Amino acid sequence: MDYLGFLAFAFVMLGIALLMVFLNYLLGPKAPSSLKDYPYECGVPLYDKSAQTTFHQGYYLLGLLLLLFDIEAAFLFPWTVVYRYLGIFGFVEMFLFIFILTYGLLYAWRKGILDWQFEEEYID
Amino acid sequence: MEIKSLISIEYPNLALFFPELIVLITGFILFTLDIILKRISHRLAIGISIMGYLIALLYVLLNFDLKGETFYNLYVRDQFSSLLHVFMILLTIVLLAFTYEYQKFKRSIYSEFYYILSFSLLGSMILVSSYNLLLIYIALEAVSVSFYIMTALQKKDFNSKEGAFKYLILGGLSIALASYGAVFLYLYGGSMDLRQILHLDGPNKELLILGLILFLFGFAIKIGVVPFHFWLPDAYQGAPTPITAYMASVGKIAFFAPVIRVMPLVQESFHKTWVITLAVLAVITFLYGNVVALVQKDVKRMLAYSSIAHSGFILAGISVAETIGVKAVVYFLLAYSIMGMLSFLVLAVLERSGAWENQIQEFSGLRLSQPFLALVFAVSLLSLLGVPPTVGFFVKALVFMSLSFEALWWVAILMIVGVGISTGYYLRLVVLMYMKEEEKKLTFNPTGFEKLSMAIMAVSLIVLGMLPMILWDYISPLSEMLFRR
Repeated sequence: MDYLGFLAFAFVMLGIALLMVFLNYLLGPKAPSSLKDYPYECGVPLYDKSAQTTFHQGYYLLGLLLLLFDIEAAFLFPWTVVYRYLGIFGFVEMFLFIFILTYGLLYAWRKGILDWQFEEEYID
Repeated sequence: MEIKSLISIEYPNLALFFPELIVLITGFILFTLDIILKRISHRLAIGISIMGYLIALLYVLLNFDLKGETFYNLYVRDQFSSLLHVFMILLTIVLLAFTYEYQKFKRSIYSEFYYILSFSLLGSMILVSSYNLLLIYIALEAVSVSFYIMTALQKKDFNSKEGAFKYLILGGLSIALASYGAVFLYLYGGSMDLRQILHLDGPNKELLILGLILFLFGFAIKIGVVPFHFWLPDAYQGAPTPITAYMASVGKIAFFAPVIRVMPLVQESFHKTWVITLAVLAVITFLYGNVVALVQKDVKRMLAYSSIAHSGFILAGISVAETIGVKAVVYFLLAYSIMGMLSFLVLAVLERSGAWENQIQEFSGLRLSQPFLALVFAVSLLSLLGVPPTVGFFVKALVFMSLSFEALWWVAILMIVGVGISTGYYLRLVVLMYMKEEEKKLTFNPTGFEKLSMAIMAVSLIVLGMLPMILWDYISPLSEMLFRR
């Protein structure tokens, strides 16, 4: 019950926001033209009318690789803080960790994920 | 704050962790080979895998009674984990006799298969030997992710991809549910260790019950208990058949093990909730599985539903949270892992005979063209049904007996009804194979290794059924050990 005011506040906030948008729609001047609806792409004509292309699989795999090294960095920072205390034990542990991650990169390399010179036939 | 008070370094006792370490190293060697070599030699990969698994198996067998905890009490080795390790490693070795021929026939050879298999074995081995919510979570992911990948390892097969995708989505949901349950368990107990959480007699029992139910639901999806089973028939049917065999045996053992470890820790305060929740789930599961299996035309899908039904029988045993329940469940689990694997492996061999679609009518008169395969398949089907000289009868009787200890008569009676329904589809196949005329001429020979391993599994089903004490002498003390702690 203590938070009832908070809930009411949230509803009032939502209501005002919706009202603003609705008023804008109701009262705003409308002069539609074909060029106004045209998507903006750096001032050049559109490459693709639908703008719904499929991405090459390579983008997703590259995203995965990015994740791999993001996580590595996230674990490396706390390790540096306690490096002196952990000593050789921590060094070996971290070496194993980075070794395993490097294996992931090697695997990706070997399977040709870093190879971005696509053959013609692969590009739609 | 002083760092030293936060971190205490404990050097791991690798003697306890050795089998897992060997499996991990095997996986890494296979991985390295895949990176170094242009084209991996399958004979080499299978040889290295079997060598590694045999070393791990030997170590587990020689140090069967090894007990202890390491990695800051994350990892627990006892007789329970040792017994399940022995079975999981053995079944994986058996599986390797079948995979290459099948993949060659289906033209979907992947060098990744071998190390994904060994990583999934590593995950399963860790999963059966931990009480820690965090380690269970990680091991569960290791097993599941390997299963998603292996389900999809079939080239130009839409069903395989569809099954893998369904498995991925529902598996993700199950992990979310299980970790949500783990949060509530941590809120209740203030610890990640299931033993500490469940031994605590804390004030907020509803948190404990909510957490346990969510955690169980997460596992229920993985196991394929009925309201959460939708991925299972598709994934089992779509996956390459040896992988289906692997998921139905090693996967089942791995996913059931943490639930079995919780059984001795069930307290007086939520004992009733545990019994009723699991008994109701079990009854729904085995009735639904058996009834739906009855109308299947595709034998692989039928066996997938039979696997759901057997999960139900195991769950009925799990609802009895007493010593006899643990004994019955462990025996049932190990017996099912053999017979489930054998039945799927026979299909894997039969699929190599050219135009084989796994339809029921194709089995008619199989005794004439493939007498050996028909015999082995009949043994596994009779064992799945529970006909006396096989181990299937013994384990069903054990679960029945344990239900009587808890006075769950309604579950026991419905279980008999379920077994009665299952007679319809198991016996129909046996009748088709042995009493009908031949429909299809099959001219091919299984390899020697395949014949040998299938024969060993079929014989072990009958021997364990006639002399159940062989395994009972291991299972009985370890169940009591789990309760003493």
